[in-house]
Amino acid sequence: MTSGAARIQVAAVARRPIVRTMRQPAMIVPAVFFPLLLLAVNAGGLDAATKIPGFPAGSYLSFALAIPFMQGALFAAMSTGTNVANDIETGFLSRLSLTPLRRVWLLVGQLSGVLVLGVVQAITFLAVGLIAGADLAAGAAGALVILALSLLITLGFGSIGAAMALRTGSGEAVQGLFPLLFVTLFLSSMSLPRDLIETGWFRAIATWNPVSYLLEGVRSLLIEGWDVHALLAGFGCAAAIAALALAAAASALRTRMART
Amino acid sequence: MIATARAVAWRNLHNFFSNPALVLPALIFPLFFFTAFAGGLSRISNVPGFDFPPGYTAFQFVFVLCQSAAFGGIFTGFSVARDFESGFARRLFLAAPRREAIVLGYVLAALVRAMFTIALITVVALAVGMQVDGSAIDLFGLYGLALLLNVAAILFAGGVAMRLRTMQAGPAMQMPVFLTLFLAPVYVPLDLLSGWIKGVASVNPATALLEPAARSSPAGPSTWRWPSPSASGSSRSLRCGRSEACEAPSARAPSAVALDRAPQRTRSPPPGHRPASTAAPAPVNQIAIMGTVDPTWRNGGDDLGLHLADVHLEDPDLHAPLHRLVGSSPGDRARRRQ
Repeated sequence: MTSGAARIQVAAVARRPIVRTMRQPAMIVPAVFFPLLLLAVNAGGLDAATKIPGFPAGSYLSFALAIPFMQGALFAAMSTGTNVANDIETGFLSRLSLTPLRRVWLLVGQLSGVLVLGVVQAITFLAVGLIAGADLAAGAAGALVILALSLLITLGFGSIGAAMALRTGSGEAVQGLFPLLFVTLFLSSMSLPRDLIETGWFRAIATWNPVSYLLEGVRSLLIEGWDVHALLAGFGCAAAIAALALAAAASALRTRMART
Repeated sequence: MIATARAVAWRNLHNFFSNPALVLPALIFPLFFFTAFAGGLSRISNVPGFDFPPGYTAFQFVFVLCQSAAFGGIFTGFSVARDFESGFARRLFLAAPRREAIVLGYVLAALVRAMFTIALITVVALAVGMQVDGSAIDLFGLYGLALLLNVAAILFAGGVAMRLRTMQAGPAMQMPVFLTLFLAPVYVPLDLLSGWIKGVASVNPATALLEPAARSSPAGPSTWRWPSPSASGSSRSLRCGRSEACEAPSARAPSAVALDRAPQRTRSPPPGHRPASTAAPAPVNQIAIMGTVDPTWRNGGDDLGLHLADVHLEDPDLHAPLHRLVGSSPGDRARRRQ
């Protein structure tokens, strides 16, 4: 297949989820509003944490600004999963399977809607955070890197949602995924740096949890500047999650199309 | 009426306990919040000014307790909405001789659901080593407060559900409670909040639930601890006033004399008097003794009546300075006479 044909296929499939996402405020508003609301609550409520000796930032807002990017990715997973499950439940995917569309482009097209949502989220979070007084130690170039990392994270979590939907074919099952993803966020270095987590088992879980490194990658650009180690860990974890989730989604799609 | 309420409650509880999709979130989410907050944020207790002796686990336990109680009521409100969507509520209205009994039934169900969750959270909190310094009465007050919150939440959520009659009203039930609870002092006491959230928390009714009443309970009232038997003497009883009331049971003997009824009758220290605490005075902990002592203490504790109202505590524990001032044993009195 030529690249031109591939582009046409992707554009045709991608248009639908993008339009569907952008036309439904119910998909955008909660995904943007709730992370910002929790940011406001946490930044105000935990500002005293900056007085802990060794805390890496002077403002908890700057420290916590990385969290909405992860929460946005969780919403992306739910959004993608729900949309794909809806396509399965309504029979749209069955009709697509009759077309000569390649599976990989079908998957990419389905994920394009969530990537657009990811861009909207990342720009909004960063803009609101900076207006509210958060630091951006890495400067304007850092903002671009944050956007890139955020999109990679969104792609990974969106793929998890798609894989779940394709595997189960049920919107309810996708909704059941949310608590699990939420747990991974809370059992990370979300609220305090790992070296300041006092409880041993919690620190051990946070150290093994890849979400910690995703957060720390974004956070390093906000409060420290260019920390190569944190960025490599962040991009590495995000790429690994995206690759594994895409593989799982592709496998589930292959099974689903065979069934269809 | 009771029979109807019991039937409605029983049905709701049966549906709840026989459906893992309803039971598990109700149990897992409070535990999860407790784990995440108490485990991940325990270093917050090292923040200067964080004064909660039983520790951060107990501090967060109060919030999670109130949250799970409130959300137990909200989730029961979801059940009400579901009953309307499925048409069951209409049949119930036809069958029930008194409709108040239906509301009462939902309230009873919410209470049982909340008690189930609260019991589990308490067991887990104790298992992970939560320190409880409060008395049985304090704990009764704490759990009573949580159950009252649960009743308030089900009445609110049930009202919304009965008005809107759809599960889509879920956010209208959930969000106000969620925001009210999270805009209270969740992570640190009110004094340590700053900025806009302090202003909001100051007028937030949930702060009144969490701060003075509930959070004093697992710790015992404020930082007060009951005087040890050796310090209290046989007939001495003291009542101390601080920002939060705390008192030891008064055993006023007929011959006892009131030393001071501060702040009305505070007395100035004599010239050259050295306060009990030699550190720079920190009037935030100023106390006034309003209790009684045994007459035999009058001579031994001659400085007691003069200066107790002017004591400045550098130690948040009231016991040590009181011990220094009042003395606790014949040996102390003998030393003071010398």
